Amino acid sequence: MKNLLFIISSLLVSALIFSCEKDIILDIPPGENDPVVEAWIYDGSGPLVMLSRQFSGYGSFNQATISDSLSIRGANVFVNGVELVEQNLFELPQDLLDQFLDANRVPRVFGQFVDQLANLSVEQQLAFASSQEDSAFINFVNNLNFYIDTSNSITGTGGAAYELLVEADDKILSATTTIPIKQDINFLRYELNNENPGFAEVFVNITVPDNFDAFVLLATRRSDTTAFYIPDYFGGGLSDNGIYAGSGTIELPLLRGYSNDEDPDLSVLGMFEVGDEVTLKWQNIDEDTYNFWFSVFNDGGDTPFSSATLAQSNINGGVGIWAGYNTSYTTITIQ
Amino acid sequence: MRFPSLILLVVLSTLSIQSYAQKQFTISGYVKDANTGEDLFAANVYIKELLKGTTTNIYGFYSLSTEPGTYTIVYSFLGTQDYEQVIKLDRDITLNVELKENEVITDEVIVTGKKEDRNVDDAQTSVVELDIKTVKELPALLGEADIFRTLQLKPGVASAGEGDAGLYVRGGGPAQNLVLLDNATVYNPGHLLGFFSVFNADAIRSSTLIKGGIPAEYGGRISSVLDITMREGNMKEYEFEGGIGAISSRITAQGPIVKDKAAFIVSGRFTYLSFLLNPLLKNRETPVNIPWFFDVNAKMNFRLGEKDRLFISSYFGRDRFAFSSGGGSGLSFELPYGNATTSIRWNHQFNGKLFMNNTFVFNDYVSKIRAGFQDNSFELNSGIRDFGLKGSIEFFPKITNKFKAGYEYVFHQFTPYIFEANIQDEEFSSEIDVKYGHEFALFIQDEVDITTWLKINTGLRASLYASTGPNERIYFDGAIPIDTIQKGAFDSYATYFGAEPRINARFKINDETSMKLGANLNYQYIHLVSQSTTTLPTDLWVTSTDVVKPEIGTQVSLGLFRNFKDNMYETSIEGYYKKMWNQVEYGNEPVVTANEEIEDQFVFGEGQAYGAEFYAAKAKGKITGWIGYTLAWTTRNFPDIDNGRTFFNRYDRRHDVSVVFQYKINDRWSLNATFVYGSGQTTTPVVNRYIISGEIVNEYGDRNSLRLPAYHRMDVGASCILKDNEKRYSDLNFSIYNLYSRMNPYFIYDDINFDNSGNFNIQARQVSLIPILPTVTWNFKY
Repeated sequence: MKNLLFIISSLLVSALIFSCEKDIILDIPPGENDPVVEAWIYDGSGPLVMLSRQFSGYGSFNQATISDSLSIRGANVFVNGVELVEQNLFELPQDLLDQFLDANRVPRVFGQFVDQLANLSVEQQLAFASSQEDSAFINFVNNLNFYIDTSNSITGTGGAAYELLVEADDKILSATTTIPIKQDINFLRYELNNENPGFAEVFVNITVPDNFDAFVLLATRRSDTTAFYIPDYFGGGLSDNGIYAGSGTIELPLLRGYSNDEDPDLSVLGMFEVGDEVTLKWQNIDEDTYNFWFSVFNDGGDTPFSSATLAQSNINGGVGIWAGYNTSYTTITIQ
Repeated sequence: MRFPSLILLVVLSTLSIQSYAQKQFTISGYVKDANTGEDLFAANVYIKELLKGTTTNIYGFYSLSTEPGTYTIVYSFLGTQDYEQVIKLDRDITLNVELKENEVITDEVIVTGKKEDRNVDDAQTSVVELDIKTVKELPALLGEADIFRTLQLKPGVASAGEGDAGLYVRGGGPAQNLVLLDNATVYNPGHLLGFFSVFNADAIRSSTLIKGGIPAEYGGRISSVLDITMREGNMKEYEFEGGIGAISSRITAQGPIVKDKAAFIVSGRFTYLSFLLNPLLKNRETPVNIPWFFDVNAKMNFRLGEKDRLFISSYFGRDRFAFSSGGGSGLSFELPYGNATTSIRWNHQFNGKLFMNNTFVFNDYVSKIRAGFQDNSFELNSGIRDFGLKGSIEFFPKITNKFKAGYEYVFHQFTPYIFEANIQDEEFSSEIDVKYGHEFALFIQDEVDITTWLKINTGLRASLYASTGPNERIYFDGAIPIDTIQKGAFDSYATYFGAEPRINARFKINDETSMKLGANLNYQYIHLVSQSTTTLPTDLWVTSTDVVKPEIGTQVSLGLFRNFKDNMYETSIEGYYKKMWNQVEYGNEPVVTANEEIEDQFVFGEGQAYGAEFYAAKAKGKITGWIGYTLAWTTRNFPDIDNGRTFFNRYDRRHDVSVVFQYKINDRWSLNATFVYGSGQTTTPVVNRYIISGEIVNEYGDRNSLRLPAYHRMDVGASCILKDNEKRYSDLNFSIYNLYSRMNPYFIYDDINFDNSGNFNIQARQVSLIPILPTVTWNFKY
């Protein structure tokens, strides 16, 4: 979905001419392979750090293989000087497990069981997964490794800064992030769409003071059995609320997030459906985290309709993001 | 002695020499087309006894000053009968001449619109003069005769293929070309996202591209000048012409307002494919609207007595792309854009030696992106608007000397990306103000035949630019505004001065051979920045400020020109070296906030280009055409891109070949073919990827480090004249674009497919635009 503008532009061009496509093999020299950091700390929780390696630009990839061959194990990881401990998915405390599952869109990772898992809660999905001893899936789950603070000496707090230090693959990586002060929404509201029966628009009611300069990353889900997805089209998943500063209490449209393998109906793009139990995951983030996600969502590749945009990492010596999140959840049921 | 001082000294010396010269008389006047009364540009006026002459200026005016005597003056022009008149030059004489159309076309007819050996004799180097007739005859995409596509067949002018109207001249970018239509700047020369140029060949009289040695009268761009003039309108009788093509039709009407004193011409084009196909596409699963465009050229010219002329010309064009998913509150997207230009010119002839022109110009380029979904609407506005005044005086003190001096002032208004949103009846807008710039210039240039073998054209342009208010500039620390500076209309953020010397020199080796040297230093105070890899209507023109410095370009070119067999064959070899400073690009980071000043996203660097151009043309006979080959290198270096590593520019073309073939079988039929080959464009490849929170993140390699497959294509065409008499003319033009259906790369994209098992495949796919495409166009005139 992140290339929606690209898709539209391509459609416009293809409407004019008779474009043709074909597979092409590119002779690309391998690039540097810096360690990848996916790490965060939520308000009220401890840090969670995942380390991996990059994979080549083209080819077929199996998630289990990726998790097995690309995870970095045995690294030394510190947050604010406290050493983190390596654990697997099933060893994670509940709050970090929920954060991981929300952020990584579990149903697709669990894809091969998607039919069986469709109506199960996340906990039930995990229990199901753990029973599939022989499957590639359980290998995948077991191969996921995390670095967490088992001493519980670090707890994320709004307004505080956190330093990450990683020694891995003979490299030293460092980063600093801040958990912003929470600036929450007032409430969610919906309106049934008269032109599209069965669909509804949802709005975020928020009060924006004069000095409001908060950055927000948001995600939505449609029921507690589905994952959170970021509406990463038209900048819908990110908000630089500074542009609304001084507007008082306003309502902004809340767009529906779609999974990467979902093909949304453009005539009802962004709308939710009657019966949805819409949950908004509203995360205040710092500017570095905003810039990282903004660059990821706006990378359309080196084409006539977009430019190659490097992900703006805050990791010195590596790639990825060390993010502080101040998160709140708000739910509304569309009837 | 510095280069500008040297130029000034040469100019003043040549002028002072005139004051000591022997008493001379002047013959001057206008050369016109006998059929239409239109002025003839670049007609040859020649004194037989002296073997010396001149050419008419863009207004058809000529002036020859020489010692008293009896002379035979010969007037000649493409497709007209030569006219000779013997005069006794014992006083100043005004002689206006009308040249009649050739009644008998022989096999030896000249097919270029210029003096036969002008390529050898003129001082100007690196110049391409297009014959509009050739433009119309060559096979074209969807039958749309296109000046830009024809220019791209000349050496030193690279094409980006379909879907890009930009001209890439000797390693410069499209925005580094000064594109003038009757003296007014055209900021976006592309229709339909660049598939066609905005110039309607029916409305165009002449087109001159100067690739190097740019004369001092032109300024504001560092790469090249494309000077296009519109036809003036038939002073004698009413005339209608037009054509019906595959996607568009065109109609031109012209005639006298007052016979021999005032005339008009109106020419319009519009596409109709959208009206035919859009209803059929409405019910598609993914509804798409066919884009459309139209444009209108209009011009009036008035002869206000013997010495004054007034021209009013205008262009207005609009494109519209639209997309709507339907459903009332679904997704909609619209991209309207277009140019409007107006120029009002007044000529005054003080005497036989002194000619003045003043021009008021207005240009307006607007681009909008409108999007809507649910009950919300968003609009992003950008554009540039100019009001300008230009003037020049041409002084012809001697048959061997042409002097020109002038001024130019342009007031620029830049609309950056100004964001407006209407969300739930609440209106929001970004806090970015319109920017303003004042561009001034004075120039002098002098062309002198120093000896029979040495002709030089020297010039100096002094330019001044001020970026001013009234507006405010917000300074950010990241996305947080930390300071605001307010400026009034006459307060400047930055002021720049540029001394721009120019020189062209021709060393004649013999009547058929010459060597030419051209050098120029140019300043460019306004810049085009693009977030894409091609020229798009949404690209943004920005002003020089305290942050964005003026672009500076210098070029040296050296060429050998030789004609054979009484100018039947023209050949040339030219080498050039171009250096460019203060080049502007977006960095590798995306634009972060709607409020942020756009210039905070730019990075600055240098560029260089060098190469050799080989050209051989057959200008006469039943078979005509040319072969061009360019060997070139174009690089850029930006400290903030790839850690300062020098990289090839996107349109770096190591090899570029063009072949044009025209065969006039008989009075009715003619065949045409073109072949182009260009080394592949560069692109920035994805070298690695990684996954963060389920998102696949691309890790790019060095900028433009991957070269796409080469571009090549052959087009063929045939013209059949159906009727050709005094009253009516019509022909059918058949063309086959991309004869062997070469799938040329337009771009590469990554096709990422996930399956239900959480596995995924990433495959590079090449998009090609246009396979073999035959079209028929019917043209008429009466």
